[in-house]
Amino acid sequence: MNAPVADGGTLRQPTGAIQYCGFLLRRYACWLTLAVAIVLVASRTIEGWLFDQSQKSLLDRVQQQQTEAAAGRIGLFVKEIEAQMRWLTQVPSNAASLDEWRFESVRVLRQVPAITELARIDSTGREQVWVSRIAADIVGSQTDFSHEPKFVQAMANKHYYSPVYFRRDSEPYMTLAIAGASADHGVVVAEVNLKLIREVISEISATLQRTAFVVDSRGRIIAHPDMSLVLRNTGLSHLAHGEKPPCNGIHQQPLTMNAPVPWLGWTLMLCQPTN
Amino acid sequence: MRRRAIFRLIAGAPLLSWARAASTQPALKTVGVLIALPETDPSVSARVAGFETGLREFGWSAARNIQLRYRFAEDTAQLPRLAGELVASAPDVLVASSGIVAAALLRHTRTIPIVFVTTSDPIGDGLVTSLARPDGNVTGFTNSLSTMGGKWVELLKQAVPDMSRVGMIFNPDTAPGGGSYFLASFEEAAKSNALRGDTLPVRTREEIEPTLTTLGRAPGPGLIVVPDNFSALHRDLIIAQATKQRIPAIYPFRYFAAEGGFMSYGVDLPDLYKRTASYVDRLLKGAKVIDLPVQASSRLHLVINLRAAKALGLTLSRTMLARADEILE
Repeated sequence: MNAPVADGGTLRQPTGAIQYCGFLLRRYACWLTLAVAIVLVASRTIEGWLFDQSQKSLLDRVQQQQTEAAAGRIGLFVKEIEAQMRWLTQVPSNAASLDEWRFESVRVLRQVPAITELARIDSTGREQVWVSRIAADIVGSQTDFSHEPKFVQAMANKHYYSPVYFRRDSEPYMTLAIAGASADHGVVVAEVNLKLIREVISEISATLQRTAFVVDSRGRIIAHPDMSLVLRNTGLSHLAHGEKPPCNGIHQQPLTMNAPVPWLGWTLMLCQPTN
Repeated sequence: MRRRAIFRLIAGAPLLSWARAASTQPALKTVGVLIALPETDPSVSARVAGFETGLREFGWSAARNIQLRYRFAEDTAQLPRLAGELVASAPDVLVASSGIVAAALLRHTRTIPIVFVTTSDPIGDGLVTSLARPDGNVTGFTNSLSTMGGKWVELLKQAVPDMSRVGMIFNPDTAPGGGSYFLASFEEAAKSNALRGDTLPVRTREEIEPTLTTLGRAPGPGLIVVPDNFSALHRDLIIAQATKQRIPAIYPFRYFAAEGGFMSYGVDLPDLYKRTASYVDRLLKGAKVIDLPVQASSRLHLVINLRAAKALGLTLSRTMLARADEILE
């Protein structure tokens, strides 16, 4: 601020006071604004950070729940087959009912495309009839399965799920066996072609907008929207050796959320979108 | 200066984007398709339509980005020449309607990827060494396991309980394994169903009539027609002769039943053409044959032609009719 000129000093004094006041006011206003702004910005930042954190954990939770629900659907694929087979355990296992059983089994084969073969083992562990989609049926082979896990475990625990095996080194299969309500009803065995899970896994991938796939207990891919990965016996261990990850598309990173598939010892995995 | 720049920007933008589009537009891809049937064969249009529909689903259309070169063989003798011609035109991918067609193409190229639409025994016929990882330039789709020979016998016997003798007709030059592929399961099922099982090898169209006439003279005859290029090519005569000699017959594909055959049990062929398109798409986009495993069909359809049944004087049991996936009236 300039010093007032001697002559006009009295005249200009009030103006100087007003100016001084204005200056102070501006200064206070500035500081006040600054202080408020700092507080506001800080609080917004903290709030935003907290919000992001809670959003992130919420998102994680939602994703984990989606993954678990998807894993449940894979388990359901097997449970539904089991439910269809349940019918077949209710036909008494005696020679007189063989034709009836065969007729019913053909009906089940039509209803469940994933079953390639069905067999009936009586309560002593001998195969009475074997029905196939791709080969002539075998009636009365009396093959002894009394020491095989599919008979022993099904009789003990009501059901048995075999480890995944591959036919012709390519197609994933599992043996599913269930026992009847009473011990004399024996065991019904189905050979299930797991290729047919493809429809379920493709649907899951489409709904969640990212690739979902299933690996068995040994880490081999048994269900993937891209069937060629399944039929090539791709294992997660292959990935370590420079194979492309099973997460395709440019917006996806390998891995993932995962959840155990109920009852089966498999794991459902989801690829993580990068954005 | 600035005005000029803006003007240039406005005028140049479409030109630039057009130029960019032109440079990213992929070169026209070519696919050679060799079908071992005459172009006039009634099943050809369904095959071609299935294939092209499949391609369109992956964004390939003949009008825009793909050129399809079809060759049709009137008989198998033309295959070597047509295969040579197609390979010489250097397409990006080759499609073979069956195993023998793939074999004919393979004799001319070990580099251009070949996709077979359907075959029974790609390993036995030397097309691939592994189904999971085909290590040559051939992959594709399979129709019938060797055990199907027995399944056809069983289904025919169930439909025609009076049957006492069953013949399996095939051409040793074109059938999988020279006819041996289905033989073991065929003979075993004939035996377990108390039937006399005869193999009926025929090498020419002229041999079909006398062979089926002889079979028709026997009491309680039945006929198994295996998937084989020869049986597809001459199905008109086989179906006509089977009807004339009153021989109930089971065929490997639906179109045999649709064209008057008694029944069929096998995979859905038009669906295989669509799936072939999915492999062609991946190969055109740079996939390697080794990453495309040979796929087996898991869905089999039982089709019964009731009109043919009536012509044969057969009444089908309700069990049999309940079993069919499709009944043609």
